Amino acid sequence: MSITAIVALFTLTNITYQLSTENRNLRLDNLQNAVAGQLASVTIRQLLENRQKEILVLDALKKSGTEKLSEKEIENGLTELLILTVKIDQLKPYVATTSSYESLKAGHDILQLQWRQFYLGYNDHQTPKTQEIESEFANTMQLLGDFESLEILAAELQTIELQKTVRFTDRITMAIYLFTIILTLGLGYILIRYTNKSLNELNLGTVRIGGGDLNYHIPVNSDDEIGDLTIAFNEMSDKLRNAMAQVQQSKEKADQANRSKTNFLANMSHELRTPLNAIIGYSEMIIEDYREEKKLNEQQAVSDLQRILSSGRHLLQLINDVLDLAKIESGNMTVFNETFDSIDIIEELVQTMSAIAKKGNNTLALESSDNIPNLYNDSIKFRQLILNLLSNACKFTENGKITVLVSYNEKLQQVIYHVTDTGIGMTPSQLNRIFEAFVQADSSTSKKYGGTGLGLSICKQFVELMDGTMDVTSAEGEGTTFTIVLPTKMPQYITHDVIPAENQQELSLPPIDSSSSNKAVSTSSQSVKLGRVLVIDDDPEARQLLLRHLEKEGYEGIEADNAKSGIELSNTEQPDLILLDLMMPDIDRWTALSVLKESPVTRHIPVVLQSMLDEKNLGFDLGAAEFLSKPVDRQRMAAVLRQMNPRDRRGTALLIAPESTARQLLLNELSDEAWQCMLATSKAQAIERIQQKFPDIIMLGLGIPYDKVVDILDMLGSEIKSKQTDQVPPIYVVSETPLGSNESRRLDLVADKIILFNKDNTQSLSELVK
Amino acid sequence: MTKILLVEDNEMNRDMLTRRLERKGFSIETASDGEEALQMIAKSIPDLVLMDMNLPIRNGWSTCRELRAHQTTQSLPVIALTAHAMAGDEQKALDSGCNDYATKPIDFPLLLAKINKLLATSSH
Repeated sequence: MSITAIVALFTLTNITYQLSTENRNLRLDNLQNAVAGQLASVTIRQLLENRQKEILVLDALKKSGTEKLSEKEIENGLTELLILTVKIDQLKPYVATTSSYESLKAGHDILQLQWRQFYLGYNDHQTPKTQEIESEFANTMQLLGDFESLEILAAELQTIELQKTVRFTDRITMAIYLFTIILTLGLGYILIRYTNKSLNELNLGTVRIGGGDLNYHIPVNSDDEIGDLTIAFNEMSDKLRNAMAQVQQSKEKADQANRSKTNFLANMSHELRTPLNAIIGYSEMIIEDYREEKKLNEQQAVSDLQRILSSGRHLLQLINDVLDLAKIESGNMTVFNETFDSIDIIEELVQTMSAIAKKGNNTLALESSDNIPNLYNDSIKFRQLILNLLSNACKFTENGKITVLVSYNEKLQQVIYHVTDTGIGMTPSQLNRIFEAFVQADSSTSKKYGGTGLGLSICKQFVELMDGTMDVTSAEGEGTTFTIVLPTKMPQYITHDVIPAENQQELSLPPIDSSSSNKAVSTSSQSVKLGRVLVIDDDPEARQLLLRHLEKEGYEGIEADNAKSGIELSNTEQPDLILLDLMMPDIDRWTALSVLKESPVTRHIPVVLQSMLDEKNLGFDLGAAEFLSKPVDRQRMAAVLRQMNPRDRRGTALLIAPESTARQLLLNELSDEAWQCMLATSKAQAIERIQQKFPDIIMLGLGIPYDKVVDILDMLGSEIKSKQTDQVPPIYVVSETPLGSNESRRLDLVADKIILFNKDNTQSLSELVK
Repeated sequence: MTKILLVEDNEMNRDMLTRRLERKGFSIETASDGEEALQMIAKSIPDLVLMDMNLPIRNGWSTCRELRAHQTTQSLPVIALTAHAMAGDEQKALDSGCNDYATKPIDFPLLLAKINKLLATSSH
């Protein structure tokens, strides 16, 4: 707008200037013409007067009749006349009033004619009359005077006009100047008002957006710089809003996850408390029974204990399932791939489960096409999956049919497993939530059918880990079908395959004795070894150190430098014990232990964990037998090995003594020396223990009064005799303080040896049991 | 003899509490869901109700509110039993009209104390 105004002003000024200049120039030209005309007329007057004088002189001369004019003189006169005519003609452009000029010219023409005749007729004396010439001259002069005065008038008029024009132009200029000032002021005012308004709007918008109203859009009123700024600001607030929305979304997700966790925890608490209630309640009741009535109703007690047992087992199942779920959720559940025949596993499971199926009067069958390829997947998880589905099917079906249908889709390279039952089925709403944790069809189902409500949730997540899919279809009252689809080949990036042993060796530091890796090491000694111990550790130095310790302790050592070959060796070599390092590069920390503990081939082998961290509890939960913290102390390792290794058991020791610190010390000592200990605090208990398991040695004493000791010794003698066994266990009487000579003598008759045992003197026992 | 109605759907817990309370000299009747409990109370009002909250058919909270809505059972002592031990669960039980609250696993002496206290106040 301001630009338009300025341009308009400029144009106006220019036009005014052009017009006034033109006008002024015109006036000025006219004035100049008038002045020039005046000058020319003065010259003409001069010339006319000169000519008239000459004519008068010549006339006077003629009257005196003295002289004639020469040709030349006549010609000069005529030339002068011609010049005069030319001068008159030249006057024409400057003429202001044509009529006076025309009159002048006409007058002059007559005078010219007479003058010409005068010259031409001079010598012949035929000149016009002097009076006539004079009269014409006077007339012409008169006309010239008129012309001049008209010209002067015209010049004056022009001057007046010029002055008028100048004044007019000045006025216009002044007007434009004033107008420009007013316009400038107006424009400035408008501009300031407009800018203020826009800035205020912008300011308001900033405040609103800053105050959190991110949906507010500042109105864009123009396409100038402020408009651009507003647009940019609006874009910024849009971006901010989007970012805020994203943050909000993430927060909601996190909140949701948090709520799920809290829910899960609440459910967990509920699920754990229910069986605990039975365990604690029944236990307390049995104790009450015993305390208050001093005897137990045996039948009732056994039934109560069975309830405690089943609640305990339920609790264990729950904890295992929750651990599995937690492992899956934290991403620590690893898939351990291998090639296996899934039909073999299903056949085996169908056989195992058929007994359970029969209980509900169900038939259980496997239908499979014969082109099912082997899977490269996690066989343990696969087994767990199918087992879970089968036991579910058995649980919810009575007098029905359970079928496992296996087919192969060659095009998609997928094996499809259907587990179908003709059981109670589910409603669509139950079906929708069936894979959620802690959801069973309804809460009464769990009461009737048991189960933790976690199994299917775990199954579903297992299948996803195994790169497969799991679906379910069901109709209430008709039955349920679970469908699992597994690929025959896992994509490489999902597998957690172990690094082959050869590569492993190349990657690791040069082993101290690389040739012996993964092979059974025959130790130098030819003596009979206490047992074979497999050391699985990726650190060659640690491995060699452990092997040396083992050799010194009298064990045969086998070694593996990675988990996979360790598991293979466990299968093929069947060691008596496995020392497993938790930090293996080729496998998740706990997977090797799980694999070893889940495989029927290696399940029975005790696994002793070694780790830098104290992870006893999780280790024990997963089935470890013992835990050694790294760096491994040789003595501690030896003690643990003796305790763990069944081949190294020296035998069973029966210790008859009341509870005391000394008894605990003796027990520790015996355990450390690899004795399996049975405890008895009374004669009756001792008999019971002997009936349970015949001991290899018997120890008694430590707080039992002398008379009682004799009594027990008598009893033991007759008990051992009644066994009619060749192996008579040695009987040691243990005392904290030296016995009196009479007592010693009496006891020597029935006991094999009397040992003095207290915390200062344990040597005798060590020597005895070696 | 003091009559207690035990409403509990878990068979083991029902059996266990029944036997333990009977030993303490109470006469115990049992119901396994909220509806059954209401029917039994309609026939004969017990001295006290021990009620699990997580019941099938009609849950404990709803059953308790139903009891409070009727004049005959308005002040019937009710102790909630529940395995829900999260914060707020106690309040939820009390809000529905229960007089007291016991968390599973049940601390039996504490439960007995609560029962006796409630019986003492309600008999006055």
